[in-house]
Amino acid sequence: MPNEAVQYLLTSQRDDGGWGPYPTLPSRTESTALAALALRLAADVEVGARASATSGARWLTETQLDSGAWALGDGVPGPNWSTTLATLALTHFEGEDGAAAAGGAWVLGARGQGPNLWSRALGLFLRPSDTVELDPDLKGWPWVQGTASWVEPTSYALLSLKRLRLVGPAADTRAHIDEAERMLLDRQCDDGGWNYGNSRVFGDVLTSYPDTTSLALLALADRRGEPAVTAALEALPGLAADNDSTLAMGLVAVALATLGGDPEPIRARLRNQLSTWDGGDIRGLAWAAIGLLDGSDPLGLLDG
Amino acid sequence: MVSRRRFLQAGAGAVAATSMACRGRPDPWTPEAAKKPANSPVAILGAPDYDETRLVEVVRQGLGICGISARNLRVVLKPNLVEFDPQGVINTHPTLVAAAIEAFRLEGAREVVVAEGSGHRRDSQYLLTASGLQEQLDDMGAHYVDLNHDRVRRTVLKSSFTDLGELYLPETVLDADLFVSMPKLKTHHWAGATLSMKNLFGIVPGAVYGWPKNPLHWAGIDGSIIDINAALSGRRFNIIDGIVGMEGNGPIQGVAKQVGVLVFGEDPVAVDATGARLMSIDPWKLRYLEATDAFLGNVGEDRIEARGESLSSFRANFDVVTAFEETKVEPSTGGAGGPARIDK
Repeated sequence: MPNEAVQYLLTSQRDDGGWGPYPTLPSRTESTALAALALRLAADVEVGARASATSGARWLTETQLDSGAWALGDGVPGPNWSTTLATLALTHFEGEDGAAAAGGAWVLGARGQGPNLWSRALGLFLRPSDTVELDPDLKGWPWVQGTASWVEPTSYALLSLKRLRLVGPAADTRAHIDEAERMLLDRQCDDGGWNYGNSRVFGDVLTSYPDTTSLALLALADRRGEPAVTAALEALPGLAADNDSTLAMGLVAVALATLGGDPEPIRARLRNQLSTWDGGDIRGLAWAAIGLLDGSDPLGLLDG
Repeated sequence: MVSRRRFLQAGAGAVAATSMACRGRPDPWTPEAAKKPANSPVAILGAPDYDETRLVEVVRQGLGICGISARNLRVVLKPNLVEFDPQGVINTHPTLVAAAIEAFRLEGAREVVVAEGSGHRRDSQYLLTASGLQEQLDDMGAHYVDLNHDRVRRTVLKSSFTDLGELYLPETVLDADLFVSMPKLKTHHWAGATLSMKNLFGIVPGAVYGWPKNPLHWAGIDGSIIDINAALSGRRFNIIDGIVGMEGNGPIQGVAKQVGVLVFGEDPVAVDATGARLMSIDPWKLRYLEATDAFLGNVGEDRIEARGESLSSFRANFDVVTAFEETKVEPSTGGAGGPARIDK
């Protein structure tokens, strides 16, 4: 069965080898990393994917900063959170070990911060029963250096660091990985999945989302079988039941395939949705392309 | 200067503020940012429900009362679209957005674009579809821009109520001929109220600053609201969706509050002060409003030129979270007084 998401990615690639967040926008790191990763993973089954993926990887290596990080792209300087995704993508390209390792080294130095004075003044972290309920001292990764840890950037960082450990020698990341995993588990919602960073605000229970829950599950894939991971996996299909976005369904399909769930129902919905794709979000398209690939561990998180 | 001192002393930057004041530094805004008019027209118009045909006429009436012409302009509407809510309470109602598109087109706009960069739910495809806004946009043939991923330009801030100094802001907003903030009338558990000024957190791109635009929280929510609003130099307008508002634990988990009103005006400070009064919140007790009264717009009722219907006929008693209980006033008074100039 043709992977329509791959075909859309091939036709959305820009002349410089990268992808913009939407087809009409200039290349950026997040969209290029995800698109290149998806096409690399599809290279054995989709004509044209390998060459396109290689061009995307070249865009990434050519735009990497001396620090090992990547900027957003499109003229915005300085390191950007999407370094985690560029690192993850390059772990799948032969000959790019050095670039990936440099990215991983930067990621290790960019962990989140504890609560600042402003947060403390607002009581955001100090009065958990009134505001949020979390352990502010557990560090994962932030979107922006110097700020708090959130579920998505932490999951991206864990994916990149775990892949680095699987594909070759890596720095001793075990302690950071352990703490970030504890942070994710600390933020798990009552329904089994993940919201963006908290499970409660002002005493109100927050609900989980399919995209964030999928990312956290992928980040914890090597801990499958543990009760918390099992609970999230069991909750995931229900979280996606009323969400027909390409991004959510693609991520859910990847997570279910990786952790032993049944991805076929969501893949069927995804194919149906893609039949009328109208040029939207490239990162959603990339996750959809990966989610539609056959196989049980498309990102290579479990066996290297 | 008085407002700045009170603002900062009340917030997390108290130490720095006191230090700055003692050294006699100038006001923390540039002359270019000082836009406070002598008087600010604000129109209050009743709208009992989200009937689109009627709303088109109400919006056109609001534009007319405020003297707004859209002829030949590229208008960018920025609703508040942050999370799906089956009750329709969280977001600016899609029908009002559609009505505004139609109204600005009828007033001669060259193009009307809808743009948002959600600070919470970032699956914009889901959010647009679930909220019903995508269907309205399709029906209207209107273009949507995801501000979280739009092209950006470095923008040096014109005020320094935070240490941000600069922000990369979306070109869609910076290049608009007329930028229209369309918030929901809501309480906010960290800022007291979220109206047309706080709504501008949604123009700060998540691709650069992450979610929920966390550097703004770390820099200080009130100061960030001020600095973002002071940074925009183009022409602006504001329309508050107060047909059904939100009270309590806003901006997402609060409770629906039927008010039946729309608020219109060019001065975001005056519009938000009016919105606060509609919720029986004293605008002088919202730090970002009190501080901006010094240079950006008018909070005082004596400087707000009320047009349309009477504020008192729509004033409602909105619940707030405990931290903002002191901002509440009796619905019968609505924060009519001036600032408590205790540190003059």
